Amino acid sequence: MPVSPADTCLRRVRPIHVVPDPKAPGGLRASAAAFEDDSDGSSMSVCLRSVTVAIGLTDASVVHGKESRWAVAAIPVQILINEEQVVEPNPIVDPPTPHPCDPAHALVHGEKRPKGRRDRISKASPLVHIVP
Amino acid sequence: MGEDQVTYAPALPSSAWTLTGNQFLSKWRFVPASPSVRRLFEPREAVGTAQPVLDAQPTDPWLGSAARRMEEIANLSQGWDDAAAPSIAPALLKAVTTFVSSDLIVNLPNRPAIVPTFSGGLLLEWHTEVVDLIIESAPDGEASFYFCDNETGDETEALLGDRSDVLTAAFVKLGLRS
Repeated sequence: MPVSPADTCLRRVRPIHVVPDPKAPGGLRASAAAFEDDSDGSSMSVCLRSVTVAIGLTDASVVHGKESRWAVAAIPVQILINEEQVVEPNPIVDPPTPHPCDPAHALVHGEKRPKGRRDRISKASPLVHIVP
Repeated sequence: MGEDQVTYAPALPSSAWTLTGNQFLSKWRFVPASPSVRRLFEPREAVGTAQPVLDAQPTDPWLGSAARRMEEIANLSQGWDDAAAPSIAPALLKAVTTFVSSDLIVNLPNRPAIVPTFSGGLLLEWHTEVVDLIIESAPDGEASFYFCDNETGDETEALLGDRSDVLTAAFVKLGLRS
């Protein structure tokens, strides 16, 4: 089933990838480096907000168990479409280490090497939760 | 840029540009009218002899935080992203350390965030009200940049030596605005 352009992808952002930006809410945003494909060659992992809500979770659930200063960036799917990305639902089943958001897991396929593309995605993706 | 006047050195191949304070700046021929901006770009002995922040007792608080950041990045081990991200090569760390401790960067009112990439490179990111500038140094030494002028909406992405006019404009805006 295709992902709605009105949906939102939630991306875990590690503390070292949170950077200051006076234009962003709270003065912080994710670095362009946070929106690369995984280093093992797989596409960028996200969680679909529509699914997390449907199973009774929140944006904060995405960083369940993570240490202080981990963050969640909310990426509008429409922005990803505009940047020639394709979002594919990819629920994780029977993982070795289960996570509450496994049913909401999705992959974002597409070319992400241009820094401008990653910066535009970052600009449009506010940090909606930071682990205290 | 107001009354600033800019002239440029002859074009150099991209391979001639690296992320070190002296080599990056030595190709510039920039004569701004504003004393505050001129100070940023005047060729000086210190530019070519900038010391890595890790070796110095920084008097500028930002240099201290940059040194701690570089140490944090240097301590990232293979798989630091819980996948296959390589550690950051010492040579790359040294080059970027020298660059961020150069007069060009230290004299700017806006200093960059230093960020590791999953591919083993480093990003320097400036985000202000009017400028988004990212300089990327890849593990193979290739350096490139992305500049978005938020006043005009213009965006440029190029190898470091290919669009010195745009990079000059970006640094002038970083020097003028907080």
